[in-house]
Amino acid sequence: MKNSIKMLRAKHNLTQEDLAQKVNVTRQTILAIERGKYPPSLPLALAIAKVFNTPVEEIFQ
Amino acid sequence: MFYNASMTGKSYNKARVILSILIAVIASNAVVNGNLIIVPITILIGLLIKRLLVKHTKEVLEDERNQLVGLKAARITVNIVSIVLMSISFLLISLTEPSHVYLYNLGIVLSYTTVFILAVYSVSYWFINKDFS
Repeated sequence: MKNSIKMLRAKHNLTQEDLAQKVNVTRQTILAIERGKYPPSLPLALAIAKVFNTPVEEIFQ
Repeated sequence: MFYNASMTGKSYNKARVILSILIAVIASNAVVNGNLIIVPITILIGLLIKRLLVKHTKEVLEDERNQLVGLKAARITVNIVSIVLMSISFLLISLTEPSHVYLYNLGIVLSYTTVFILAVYSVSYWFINKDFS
């Protein structure tokens, strides 16, 4: 699953660690999502969308 | 040295490894010296200390990805263990000579162990499936 988390992180000046803390997961999970290795659950996808204040369908394609 | 009120993930891992080594050393010494009562007490104290460490770690130690990995690993483990145990028990029961009674008995024990593992898996699957439906 493609996503624009890396780009949005850079735009919001957040590290993987920062984002992981905000959505209550490990840094490895954020890395796996960014690489497209792990598709996040719906609650996690919504939490990420909330952090970036962006609709979930714009982040995950 | 390894404990403070808000530990990071790295210091938690260090403390966990040291705790595991300590428990293993104490428990194995207790078994060697015949003090079997010390073993469960050591394990219990170790579990309590681990719980305390988890409570005081500020980082997230387990999330949905870890749980998914654990679930897949557990399922693969059950499959591999049951196939291997069943094969060994089949070989022991069918191919051992009548004079080697202990090998035949070992085969019987292994086959019952396999049945027990699969029964526990089926029961826990049934309960968890019931929870999600």
